[in-house]
Amino acid sequence: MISGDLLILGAASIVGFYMAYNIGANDVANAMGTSVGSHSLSFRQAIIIAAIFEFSGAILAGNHVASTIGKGIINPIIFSSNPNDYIYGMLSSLLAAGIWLNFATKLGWPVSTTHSIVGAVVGFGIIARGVHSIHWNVIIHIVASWIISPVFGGIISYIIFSFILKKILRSVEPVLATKSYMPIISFYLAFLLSMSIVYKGLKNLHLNLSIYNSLAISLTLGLVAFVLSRIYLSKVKVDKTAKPWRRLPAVERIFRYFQIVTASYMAFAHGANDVANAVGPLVGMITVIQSHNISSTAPVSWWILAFGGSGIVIGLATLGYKVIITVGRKLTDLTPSRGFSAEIGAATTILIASKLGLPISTTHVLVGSIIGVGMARGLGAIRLSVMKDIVYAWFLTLPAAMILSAIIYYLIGFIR
Amino acid sequence: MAMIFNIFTKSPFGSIQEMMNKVIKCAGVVDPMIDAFISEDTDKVKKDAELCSKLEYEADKIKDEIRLNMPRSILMPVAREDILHILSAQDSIADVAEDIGILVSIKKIRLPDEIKEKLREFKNKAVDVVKKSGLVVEKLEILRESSFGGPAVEEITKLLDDVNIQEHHTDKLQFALTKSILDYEDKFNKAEFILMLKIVENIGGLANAAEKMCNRIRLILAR
Repeated sequence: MISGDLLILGAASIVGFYMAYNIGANDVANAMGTSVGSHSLSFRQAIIIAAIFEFSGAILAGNHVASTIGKGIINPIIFSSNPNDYIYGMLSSLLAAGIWLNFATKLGWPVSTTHSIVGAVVGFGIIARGVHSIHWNVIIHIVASWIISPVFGGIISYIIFSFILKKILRSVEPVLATKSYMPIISFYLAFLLSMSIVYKGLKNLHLNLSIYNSLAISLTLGLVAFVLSRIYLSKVKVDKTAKPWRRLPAVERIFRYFQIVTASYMAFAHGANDVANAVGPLVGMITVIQSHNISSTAPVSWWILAFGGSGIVIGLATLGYKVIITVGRKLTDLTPSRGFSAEIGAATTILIASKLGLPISTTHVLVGSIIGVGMARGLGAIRLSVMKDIVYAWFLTLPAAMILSAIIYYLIGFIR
Repeated sequence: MAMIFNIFTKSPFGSIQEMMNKVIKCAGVVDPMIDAFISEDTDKVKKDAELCSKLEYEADKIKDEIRLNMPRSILMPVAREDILHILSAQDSIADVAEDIGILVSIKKIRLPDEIKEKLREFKNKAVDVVKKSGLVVEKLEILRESSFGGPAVEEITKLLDDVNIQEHHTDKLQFALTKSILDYEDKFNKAEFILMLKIVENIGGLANAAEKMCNRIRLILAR
């Protein structure tokens, strides 16, 4: 029995690792492509930063979403009479999501890893224990978040870019305006970032900080960021002789440095949310195998997250760089101020969703954020038809992953 | 996945600039072409007219490509209609230049000295208006950096005002030249007389088309 479990776990780990590898190879470009495109980061720097922040995002803040996918959609307790059904089911889900992703990517469809895995888990749940086994209220939350999150990201990016446009890019003294407004934006960034990490996060470090302590830490870090950016900005020289619009390139050069921060923020958020797509099912399986009496309260082990995080980093290092280069070349239009705004909107949304344990598509949130910048008249030209493709892929992915996972579960039932 | 970055497509402003460069080249040929016409150098006139027509064709191709890349589902910082109008105004500058080439290569005409002088001054001014309107198009990219607002607007408005003033000067020169042609009516036969008026009208059309394009750009700023 134990050795059989280990075998299945081994198989699931391989499939999970394969998923993580794919996420690293394809989706990390979401976090870093914009920065490479705007020349804020060299390609080598982008890889190093992505590796560090994806990994730390995965192990420091990846637990909520992993536990939603592993234990939230279907409660393992209903499998207590026959835990193996649950273990095989999660294996089927991983396999189904992996196969579907491979298939869709080959055809060039913009499908989401998140949507595939959620669909697959629901599919096996229905076939194994019927419609009632699914926590439909969780599903409703998840699906609602898929619609809300891109809109939310878009609204934040729209506001941030409109602010930058009004206060800085259209100012008579754009460099001076940057000097006075950027520390405020830095404060907001650092505060939000540390708040989302510290408050109810970092469970893996066993720091259970109250909301007041979290607020105090985040405010302090925000102030540190405020002061540091002031010091940095005070060193920037102002060329008073040039006409205001000739000084915009100088403004964009300042934004490059800030975009490094938002890119790291984005990589962290991405790691936190997307590691779950690979290890969420593993989390559920290991919980079951370890205890053999199914408990839905066991915490997510950090080493499972680290395992997924490593998969992401290896995928990024071996294949992801190609995607980042391709994407970077396409983004000539995205200046640092635009990329900065889009990344703040996307990363903030993704971190909030991770905090709530909602598995969202980071890709779709980024698309929403880019459109937000476009709505604020920030970009040269954006193909809105991409949204149509996303919606089609969306309606296709859920049933496809569900059916595929159900079929695989059924087939495994024959073999065992 | 990563192909989501297909969301970005070619910005129309770079393409408009590319098209304008071609149009300025095309209109620029009018300058030596009219000089050759004045000095009755038929070969040179023919060669320039051919060059003009070739450049017009190339500009047309750029225009078609831009239009093809601008379906309704594209989100741009300015209205799609404005971009299309700017394009067709640019297109008509090149069209007029090509027409001038055709008109001057129809027939060699001996011109009185006074008309020679006035014609030279007139076409210089008209070509100059086109070149000045090119400066406005160049500034569009700067305007894009601040999303069509801020202090750069003032600078472009100045350039636009300048184009309007220069175009007005061209109109005055056109009036004077037309008057002279009528004064020297008996120096031309009927066909030459009509041809001369047509040439003058078209050279004036060059400046008019450039001004029309600039007025469309002014509309973008007003939004």
